[in-house]
Amino acid sequence: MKKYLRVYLRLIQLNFSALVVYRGNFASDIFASLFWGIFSVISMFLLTLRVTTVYTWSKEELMVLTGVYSIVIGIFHIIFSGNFRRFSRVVHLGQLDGILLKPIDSQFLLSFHIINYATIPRFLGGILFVIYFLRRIGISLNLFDVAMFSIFTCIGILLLYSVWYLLVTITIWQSHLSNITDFLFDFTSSAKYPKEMYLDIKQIVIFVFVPLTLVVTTPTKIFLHKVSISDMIWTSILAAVFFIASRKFWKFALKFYTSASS
Amino acid sequence: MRYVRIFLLYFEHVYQYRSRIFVWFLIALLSPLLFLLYWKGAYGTSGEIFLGWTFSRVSLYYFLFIIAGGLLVVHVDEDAQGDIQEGNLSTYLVKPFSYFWIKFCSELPWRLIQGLFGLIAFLVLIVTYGRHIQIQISIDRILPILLIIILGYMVSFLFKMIILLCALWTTDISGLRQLVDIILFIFAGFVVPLHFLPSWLYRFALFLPFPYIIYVPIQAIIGDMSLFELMKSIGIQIAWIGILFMVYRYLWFVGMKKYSAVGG
Repeated sequence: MKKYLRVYLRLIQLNFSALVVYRGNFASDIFASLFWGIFSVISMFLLTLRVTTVYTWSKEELMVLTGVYSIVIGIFHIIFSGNFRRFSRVVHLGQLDGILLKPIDSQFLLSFHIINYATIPRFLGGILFVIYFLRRIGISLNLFDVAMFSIFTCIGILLLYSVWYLLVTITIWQSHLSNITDFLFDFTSSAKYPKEMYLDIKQIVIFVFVPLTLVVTTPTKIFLHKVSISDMIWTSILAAVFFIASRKFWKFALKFYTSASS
Repeated sequence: MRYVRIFLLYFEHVYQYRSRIFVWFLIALLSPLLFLLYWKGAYGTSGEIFLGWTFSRVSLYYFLFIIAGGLLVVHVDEDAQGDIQEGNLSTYLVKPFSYFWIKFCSELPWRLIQGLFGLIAFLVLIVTYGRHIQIQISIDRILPILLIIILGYMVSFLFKMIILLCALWTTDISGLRQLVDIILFIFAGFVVPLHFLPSWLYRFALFLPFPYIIYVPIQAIIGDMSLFELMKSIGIQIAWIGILFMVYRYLWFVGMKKYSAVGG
């Protein structure tokens, strides 16, 4: 454990040096990430422009949901999503050999190699946005709310991470499916709608969406004081199940890895 | 004739990437259906008709969007990295073909195949969920509608070619591309039918080329437009094509003087 922490601290430093070297790129990344944050706000604004409640969620509550989405996705992008972009490239070009040879867990190194500092402003913007709309609704938060929110945000991100890892592992067999990360970016954006919306689908597809919607809906409901015990239990159980599954599936997939270069 | 051959060659090339196309198709499928699901809830609370649109009309709008998103949204700007940043443009310049038409021939197969996927999804959705949806297109409108779709494609293609050329100045256009994506999302009618926008924003949007890429073609099919309006849209599309083409030519000539292959 100590070793992994030390490696991660090193990675944080290395990523920071890279950022200082490619400053222009960093600036354009910040803008891009802020654009997407602003876009998710604008699209929610457009969607709620002419309606008062949707699936029992009021306009302001939907705005809080959008803000929490920016926070959760912000953290996810800072820590993970750059690594998933790298993932398919690593597999496709046969660079996975080098990673497998290192005396460290391969899933760890694939998941934590890149840190995307450029998403930090979006994350901070999300926090301000949530605070503003909670005030407008008239909800004041105590320390317990914030603690519970932080815990379930982490659990939500673990769930999101596991779903992504599970799906990108498929590229071990189908290495040209590198656009699966593009799909995951879009798929994840389905988490910015309330869970109740998906409960309206009464087909089997519902099981595709529900895990993802819990990622953002559960922490949001904690802030809105509307959370149910079952929401919290389900989020935790699904996070645990998906994480174990992603780990097992990765170990299984590695048996089928055939290098491309060497 | 030689461009037809190039087109067919690229068609074969695209066919190799079937599973990749399937994933792109899933992306095109996902967001219209999510928006539709959202509106279903909104309609639940505010009655059958909303701003003059019935729910079956909104459904038809987003179902058609699945086809239009695949068929009409051109992605040539994605080639900026390979063509300009990595200098592949040089290999095109020494060939006796116009870069513009090579890009046209390489892009069209992707769009046609994705449009086909979209059409299949559209038919499946109509059969399973849309029995109450009716489309009426009279014979005399088929030609104008087809023309609007083709012109919409040209507006989209020219606009994205201009974005691609911007890389001659900035090398990396990934930030610009994301901005353009967002503008398209809003003003081409991805998020909400433009009709649902506040009226000042709606009027402003119609001054931009973006509604003529997707929103207007879909409106033409839904059957909202009189023959006069169809003709008017065609006129505006042609005007936009003219403007965008001139901008493209200008950028091309200025850009070629500036272009230096990086590593090529």
